Amino acid sequence: MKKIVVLIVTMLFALNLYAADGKSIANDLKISASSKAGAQWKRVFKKAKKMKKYGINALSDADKAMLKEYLISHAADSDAPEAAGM
Amino acid sequence: MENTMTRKILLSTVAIATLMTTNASALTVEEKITKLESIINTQQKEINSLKETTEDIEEMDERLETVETSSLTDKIQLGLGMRVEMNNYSNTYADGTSYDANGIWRTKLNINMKSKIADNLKFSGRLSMYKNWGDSTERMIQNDSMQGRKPDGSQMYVERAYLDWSLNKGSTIPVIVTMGRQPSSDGPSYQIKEDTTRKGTYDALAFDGAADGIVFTALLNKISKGTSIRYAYGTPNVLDNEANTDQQMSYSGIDNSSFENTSVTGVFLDQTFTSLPFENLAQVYTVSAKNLNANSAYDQNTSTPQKNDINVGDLTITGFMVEASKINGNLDLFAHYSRSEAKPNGENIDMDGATSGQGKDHLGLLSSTDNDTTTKSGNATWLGARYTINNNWKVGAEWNKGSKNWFSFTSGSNDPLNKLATRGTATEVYATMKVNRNANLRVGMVNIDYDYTGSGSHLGAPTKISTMTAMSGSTVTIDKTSNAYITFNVLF
Repeated sequence: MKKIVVLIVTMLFALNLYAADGKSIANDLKISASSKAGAQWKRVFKKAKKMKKYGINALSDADKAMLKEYLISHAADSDAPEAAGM
Repeated sequence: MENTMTRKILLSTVAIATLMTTNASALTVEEKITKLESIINTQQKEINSLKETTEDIEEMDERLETVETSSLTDKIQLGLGMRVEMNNYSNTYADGTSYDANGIWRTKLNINMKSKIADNLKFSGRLSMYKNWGDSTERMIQNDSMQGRKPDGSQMYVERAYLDWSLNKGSTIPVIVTMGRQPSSDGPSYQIKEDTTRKGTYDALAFDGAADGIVFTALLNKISKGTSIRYAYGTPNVLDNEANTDQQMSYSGIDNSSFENTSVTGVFLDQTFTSLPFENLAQVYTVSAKNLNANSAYDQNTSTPQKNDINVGDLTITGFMVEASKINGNLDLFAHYSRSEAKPNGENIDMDGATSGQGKDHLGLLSSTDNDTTTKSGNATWLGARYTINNNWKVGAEWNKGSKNWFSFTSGSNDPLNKLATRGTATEVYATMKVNRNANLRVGMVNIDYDYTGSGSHLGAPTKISTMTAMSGSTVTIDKTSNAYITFNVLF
């Protein structure tokens, strides 16, 4: 049992080490996904000038891809969660 | 725009002045005039072009205002949810005989509504139809939680209609009051199989269906990151139903001192661990339901229906759940456990051969014995996993097991088999194919092996199916059932 707990904690810690996902990048850049619709976010990633406006141009290609996926999947017209008080 | 024009005119002036002074000796007067004409013509063309651009911008401004006006006056945003499904059921009775029901087609339609009324008030709603193809009749047993949730005719029901009122936005502990027909269906972790986001408030193992009530949500994020607490109150049954139409002469209540309306209160703690690199949710809850009822809707086939509703006892449900989504981007896992504790009050309702088809049954809260007040405890576990193979395909499996006296509020589940209410074991495997961003196709197979009778019902003592005889109902009680299905889902 102790070994399983240690294993789970280690796994969680390891997972935390590479926590750079689309959401955290968006938070760092202070971008709110719900401020635009999915098609509008797609347009942002097509124009260097617009990417510069949000600070996206400085990201690596991999981070740009992660951020783009996050912003589109959480855009204003995306499938939003529903619950009381949410 | 004006600055650009001014800059160009200045440049032209400078060019003309330069021409007049620096090349004065080299050019004749005629040559100078020709050059000046050329410059003036070029400038005129640019000025005309700028005028056209200005006109275009003015036209765009007018069009944008039209869009803005439309946006500001569209008070409700509409969304679409739709499912077309084909089911193939195979059933085995307790006596070993069986029957199949193949090609059962159904359509589910959700019209989703949203409206931001003010910064501190928003409306959400859902109109639903869940229709058996070719069916034009209303379900015989239709409680409030099932409306729009169980296969029926083409009736459209209000499944959700609630206001979220933010009492103190921006304060240390914001409190939101949610009132009306609640988002109490399709809660976690139902969304994983459906390939959507969370669509309801409560653990779907214990609560699934339409419900009227009021919920207070305290967001504790500033004190404890990712934490929220809810207090919920609802009335799933009041004495104002079809069984008492002869008493519904006024809207000021019914004079019946022998019956108390059913009321439910609950406390739910939600926790999201924001430091984890995947989406997650944990929920712990305890719910108390007072004065569960029984009425003549359960007694429609009797020659002498019992007209008045009766209270049959109280129920407490306590449980917890954890779910983690997109672990490493492709794995979803969840685990739920819940415990029910029913306290019958000794009252029974009579039904003609409800379980056996013979004689008269006396049905109380998980009891078939007169004056039985002993507590009945049950529990259930629900586990599931889903793996994303690639951008188009996902596969998943679920397993749940409920004990003899397991009972919860899932009669309004969208699943016609209500597998999470099973007093026995249910397994499900499925594969989901993405059609596009808003649609998917799912094929799956559900197998249910009932250990006890009456899954999903709070009335009557569960009987071990393996011990049933023809006299006790083995010829009409389903022991095993399965469904091989295919569904096409759209959420837009």
